[in-house]
Amino acid sequence: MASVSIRRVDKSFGPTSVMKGIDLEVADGEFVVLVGASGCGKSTLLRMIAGLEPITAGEIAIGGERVNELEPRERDIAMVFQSYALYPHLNVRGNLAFSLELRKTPAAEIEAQTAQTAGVLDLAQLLERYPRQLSGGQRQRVAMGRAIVRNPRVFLFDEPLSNLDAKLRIAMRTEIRALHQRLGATSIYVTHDQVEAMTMADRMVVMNDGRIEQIGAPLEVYDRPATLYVARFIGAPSINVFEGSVEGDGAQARLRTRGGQHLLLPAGRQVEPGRAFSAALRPEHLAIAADGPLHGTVSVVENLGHETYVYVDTADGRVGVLAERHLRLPPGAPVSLAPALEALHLFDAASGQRIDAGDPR
Amino acid sequence: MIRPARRRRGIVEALNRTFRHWSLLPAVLVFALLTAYPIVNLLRMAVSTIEFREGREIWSFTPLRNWDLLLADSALAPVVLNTIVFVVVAVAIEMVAGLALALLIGGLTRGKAIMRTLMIIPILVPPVAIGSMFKLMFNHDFGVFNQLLGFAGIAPVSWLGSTKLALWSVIIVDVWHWVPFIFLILFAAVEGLPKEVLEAARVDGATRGQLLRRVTLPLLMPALTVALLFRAILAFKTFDEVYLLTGGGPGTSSELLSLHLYKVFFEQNQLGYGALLSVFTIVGVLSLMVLARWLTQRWALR
Amino acid sequence: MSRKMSAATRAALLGWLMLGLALVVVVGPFLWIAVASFKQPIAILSGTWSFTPTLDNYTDVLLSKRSDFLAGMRNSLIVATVSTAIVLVVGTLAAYSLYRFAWARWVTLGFLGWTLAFHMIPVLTLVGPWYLAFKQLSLYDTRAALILTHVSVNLPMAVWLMMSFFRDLPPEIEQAALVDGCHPLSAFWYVVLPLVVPGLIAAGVLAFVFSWNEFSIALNLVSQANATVPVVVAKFAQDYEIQHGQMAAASILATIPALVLMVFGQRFIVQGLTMGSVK
Repeated sequence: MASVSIRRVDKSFGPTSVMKGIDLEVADGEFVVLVGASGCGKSTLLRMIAGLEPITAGEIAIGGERVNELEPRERDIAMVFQSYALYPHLNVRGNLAFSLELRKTPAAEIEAQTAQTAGVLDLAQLLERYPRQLSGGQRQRVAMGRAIVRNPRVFLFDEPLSNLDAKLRIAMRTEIRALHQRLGATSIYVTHDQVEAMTMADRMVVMNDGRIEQIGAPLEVYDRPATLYVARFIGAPSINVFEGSVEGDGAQARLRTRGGQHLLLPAGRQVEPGRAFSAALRPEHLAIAADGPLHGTVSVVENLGHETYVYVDTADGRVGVLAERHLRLPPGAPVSLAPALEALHLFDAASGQRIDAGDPR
Repeated sequence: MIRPARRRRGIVEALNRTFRHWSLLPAVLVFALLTAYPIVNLLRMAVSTIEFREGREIWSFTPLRNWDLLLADSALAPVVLNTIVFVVVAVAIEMVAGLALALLIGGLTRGKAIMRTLMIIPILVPPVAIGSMFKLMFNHDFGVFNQLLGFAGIAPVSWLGSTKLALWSVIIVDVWHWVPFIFLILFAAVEGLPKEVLEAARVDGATRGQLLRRVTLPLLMPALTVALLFRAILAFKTFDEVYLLTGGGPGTSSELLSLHLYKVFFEQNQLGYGALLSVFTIVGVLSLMVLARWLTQRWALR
Repeated sequence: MSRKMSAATRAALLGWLMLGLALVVVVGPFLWIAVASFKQPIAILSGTWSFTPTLDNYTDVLLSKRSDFLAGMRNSLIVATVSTAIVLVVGTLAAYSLYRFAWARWVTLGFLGWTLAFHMIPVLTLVGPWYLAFKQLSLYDTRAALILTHVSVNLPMAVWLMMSFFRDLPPEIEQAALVDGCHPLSAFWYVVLPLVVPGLIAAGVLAFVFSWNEFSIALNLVSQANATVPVVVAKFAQDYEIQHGQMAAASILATIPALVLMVFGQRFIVQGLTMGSVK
């Protein structure tokens, strides 16, 4: 196992720069998830670590050793592809054994390793089958087996669960996580699904448009998003955003939203008057109250069984609120909402950066 | 602390690093030596006269002489005319027949595989064998065509010996040879037509005729264009069958361009003049190709 | 209601009619020639349909001293096999190189454009310069000359065909191979090549058949000793013009390799022909 260091990495395709100044340190044995929307550069970064994409500037090191000039085969890494990329002309055993055969491993050892991997991933019955005879979930496990079988320093995952149906995805999530705990391998995992990121990561790296927005443990990122983008991206249903500017001064300071509503500033926050901001509150930090600073009419109610979400049309747009089940709220009913102010996130309207000291990085 | 990486040396590494170059090189060499170089030579030859004395080549620089030969070549005009007529008529027949077959067979539920297998045969048979087979079939006395005419009460026809019919006989043979090829291309295209689009049109009330004209044919345009261009340009290359069937005769009534080149080069031994003709032919064919390309692109943008 | 149904059945009927017609038109000539090849000369000339079959024509073509047919088959076999092998190796490597290694646009377009242009010009335009060049190199009238020229003639088709097969491969499979420990060369050999075997077969069969059938070059670059089958057949048709039976037999014999290959690889051939021309 080994650490992965990414220092001041830039990436350009021809004259177009897609990434600048990426810094990331992955500790030995850590499970790091690169998460972001399509096109944010997470897959490109992963492929640079793998050696499938050249690095324009900066340095990537695995286990303390610079790998910029090394070919993929020299980096001692394994990769699980989104489309699994199994070798169609080899059966499952052949797929698993391929990398070991390339290294001229003695036959007995290949047998042993293959058998052990097949056992771990429950593939023992499928060894003689060919990829086209396997289901999606089975192929995915073979892809993982191919990666595990030779004990590489680093595991790379490129959206491996995207092609599975929802139920299977959830099952595989826990399996991958369990596997990681068992093998203790350094893993870098790319996904666009923030739920996968939240549930699987030791640390998350939220990326946007070629930049790293925030790095941190899942709950840390959830509780203290460093930018508006992160706040919006992480968490479902999405966070509610109110834009406006600061009114008043000192103890009288309040937030005046564009829709004309007012929110008190949380205690201890200093913001200069007139400053434009974006304020964000998660649905669970709003409540339907008898009287509250926010008003609107009920639009849609979603009952998920264990949770109920009420969407309220306010002067600042549609606001989602985590509500109690027993409330009877017909569409069009007027309601008022009370915020949990200590959970209010404030972001500078122009830069999207969090407004208060000490962003975790 | 980041250490620099170790690089491996050795022959395998070197081969891998240069893989991209040495994989393309052989093909480039083949083309450079066997096609580009001879074409350059053609230009040299076109302005020279080459004679063989005592087994040695003698080159003399005679540009005007080759021009004179060209102008004096009484067979040239009929040959060019024949070739143009041949290409236009043969390709037209082949396209229509191939399209009709593709559409009609495409509508069948069974029998498509047999048809495909069947249609490969004429493409794989040596053109020389086709020529000799049809020569026998066109025979005035016992050939099958005249036998069939006889059943219909028509007098035997001199397929290969009449100046009026000789070119048509060549066209018939070419049609037999190439309709299957057109069929295969168009059939693949017909099979690839989006069925929902056709069904939607029929739901919208299109008759069979309208369906054909307004939906099927426009959708087939790309394949039709490719097949037409490809076949037309290939038609200029026809040599084997003509050589066997008529040798260009009687007279020059069925002589095509390639055959004329052959005669100039190897029967008249006029290598210089032949090279001049070759240059014109190459320029002509390539210009047609460029023109056709340009036309289809303009049309595609409409 | 009944009118609509009969229109559909009419079309189907027409389709079957066409199939039958195509069958007759395509197979008919072979049948007629095959029958003729078993006839005595008198039977041929009188055009009778009832006759006593004989193998004389075939034995004459294959075994008589004045016939070069068997020698022609040996030459054709050597030339076709060797040139096909070279075409496959050179063509596949070139196609892979163009597809995989991101050459500059002018390189790819130039190469492919040249192959296309060369494919279009009549081969006879080049036979002249080839004739002179081979004479100078003392390669005139050798099988090597035929092999070299056949390679250049069939290379475009092979390159185009293999490129279309390479393009159909998902790129991630190669990347997986690289990550698993392959050099680019081993990835090509162990992973890519096995997956394009149908393309290799199609290109191989087509290259072989076209080399076997090739006439205009063979006619002019080799003499009787090194003649290939088409040249031998042509000679038959001319010298022995009145030997109709032998001509028929020779035609049938010359066609056999094509029919054999068709039975063996017809699926690949169709794929190759249609893909190769629709690019």
